[in-house]
Amino acid sequence: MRLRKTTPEPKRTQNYWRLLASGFIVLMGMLLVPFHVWAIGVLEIPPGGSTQSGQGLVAGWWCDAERIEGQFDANARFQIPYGSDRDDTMGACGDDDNGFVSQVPYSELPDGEHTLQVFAIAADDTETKIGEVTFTVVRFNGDNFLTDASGMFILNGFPDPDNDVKVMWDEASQNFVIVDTDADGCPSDMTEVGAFCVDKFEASVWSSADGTGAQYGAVGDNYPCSDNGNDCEGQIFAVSRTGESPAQYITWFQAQQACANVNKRLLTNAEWQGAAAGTPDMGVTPGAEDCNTASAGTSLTGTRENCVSAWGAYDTTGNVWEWVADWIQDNDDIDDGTASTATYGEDGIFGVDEAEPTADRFPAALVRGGSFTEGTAAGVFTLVATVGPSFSEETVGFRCGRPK
Amino acid sequence: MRSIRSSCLGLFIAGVLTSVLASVLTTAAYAQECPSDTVEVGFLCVDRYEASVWSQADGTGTQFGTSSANYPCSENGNDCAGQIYAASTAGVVPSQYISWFQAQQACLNAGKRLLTSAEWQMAAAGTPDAGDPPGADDCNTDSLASAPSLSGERSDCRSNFGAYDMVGNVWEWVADWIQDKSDVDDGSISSAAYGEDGIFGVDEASPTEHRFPAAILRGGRYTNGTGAGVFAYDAVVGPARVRDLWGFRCGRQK
Repeated sequence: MRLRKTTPEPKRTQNYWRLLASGFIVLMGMLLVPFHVWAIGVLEIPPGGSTQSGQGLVAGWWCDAERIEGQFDANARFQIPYGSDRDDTMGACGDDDNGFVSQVPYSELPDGEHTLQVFAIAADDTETKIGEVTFTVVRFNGDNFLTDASGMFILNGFPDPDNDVKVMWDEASQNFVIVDTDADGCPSDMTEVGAFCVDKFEASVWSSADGTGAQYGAVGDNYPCSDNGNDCEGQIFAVSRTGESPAQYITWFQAQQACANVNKRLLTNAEWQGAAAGTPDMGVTPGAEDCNTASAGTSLTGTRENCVSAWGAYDTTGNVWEWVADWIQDNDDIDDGTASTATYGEDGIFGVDEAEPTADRFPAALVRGGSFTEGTAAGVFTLVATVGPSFSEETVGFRCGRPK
Repeated sequence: MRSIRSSCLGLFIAGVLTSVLASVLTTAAYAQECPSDTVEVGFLCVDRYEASVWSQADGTGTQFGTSSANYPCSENGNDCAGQIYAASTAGVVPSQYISWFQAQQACLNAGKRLLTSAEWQMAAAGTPDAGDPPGADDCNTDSLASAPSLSGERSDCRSNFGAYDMVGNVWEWVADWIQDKSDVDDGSISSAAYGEDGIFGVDEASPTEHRFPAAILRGGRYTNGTGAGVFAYDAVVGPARVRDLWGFRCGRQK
């Protein structure tokens, strides 16, 4: 890159002199009024009307004082260290050593509303009130110092809807500190689980990648491609969206292609287990906001607000069974040991379920979490290894994910 | 005027320096190196050491699982989010007494995950088998040992990729579950002890909530003697089980 040549601008000289002249006039004007009137500054922290907790600050700046004192309510005054660098006050004060700041254990004040006054004391002991603010203190169960607590939490949708922030409890500051401002890479329809993004909602399946067009599998087995998934590329698209009927009647092969068509994949069994942790178990008769484990049909995705995991995934328990990526050798005797066939030519399968014809021996593909009919048998530890990957029925759906 | 012109020049130089620095940093970011507590194995960053589990994300605070199952959350892992954090630290007692469910949440809380068995196998390759008794710097597979070694202190117990203690010390949980054919425990694998969640198609002779597939453990432990090694593999225990000799390690994609 080259520096562009500039043409001289005579105006700038003119502005320079105009600035000097106006500065001189202001200076003269200030000398005409008493010192304490033009001594200026501001109490910045805590802001009036704010809420304070844990360890915090009293801070601001003041141009000229011998010392600065603060006073909470009618308590004894305390001195606030004064003279720290504040470059931003150079314009107002003519020098920059005007900062005052003190660490304050707000959690040692009782819960409720308090007042802080801050004073500038001049060399001749005359004082000027820099500011007075009212603020509110909140504490954990009235504790002045919380110990033995820890945790890391995701704040969804901050500072904009597509971004999440991760905060961690910090005992020393008695507050949360931001540990990740972009926690991260997971779009708003997915939630972060370790280094992985998991769809927040059970998949609904559509004819377009943006979740528009025809919806499939909501009222019947009407997918536009085969149960064996072989012709599903570019045909069916999995979408994570609240308020939709989750896809049902879908085979493992189709579900996998519906994820792949949106650049995601089925979760592994382990990933699903990790994302589901913390979803509360429901009783025999779950409430309207609890997981859908005992009803006549599916509920719309994400509408049962208690049915959310510690990681922010909805409906992992109940609603529809969810296919996961893993196939497993089953020892089921329900279907005479038959898991399934892909009904595609005579592709041989060996070493699994050897009593069946070679084309009819798939291992079981796992489904997790239970559906709307399982009652108390549905939950985050529910696992079925009795159906092959070409099985489908009303109760079976899926969700997708991908690495961050 | 003079001062304005010189500050323009200053800004220009600062701009050039900033863009050079930014491009260096960007290059570094795209190189996607593994952090120093992990080793690079293909596209993975695998923890250099067996996990120790802590109350704080930076591997400080209280360490759990060094001499008992004193984790502050359940063995089924359901309340472990934000509670236990896996760290890869040299010179500490690896955490034990941990279930697969807890180990998995400890990895996730640290922004990582359990390795799959295949990934574990890749990372362990090259770790030398130790004799019995092993030398002081060999893997701790000692059949007479009464405790695990500190992570990484056995300098010869190192894989081709630089991961320590994959052989011996503590068994390491990996992500995979598998249908076992064990008749240990009468074929009964385990229960998550959580409501009546049903499990079907696995171990059908046991009660429905008591049929988890086995979760795989790798590498062997101290006291395994020559039975420990990079090919040691255990598929007889379910993911909710806990024992003193079981630990784990985490990893993540680069």
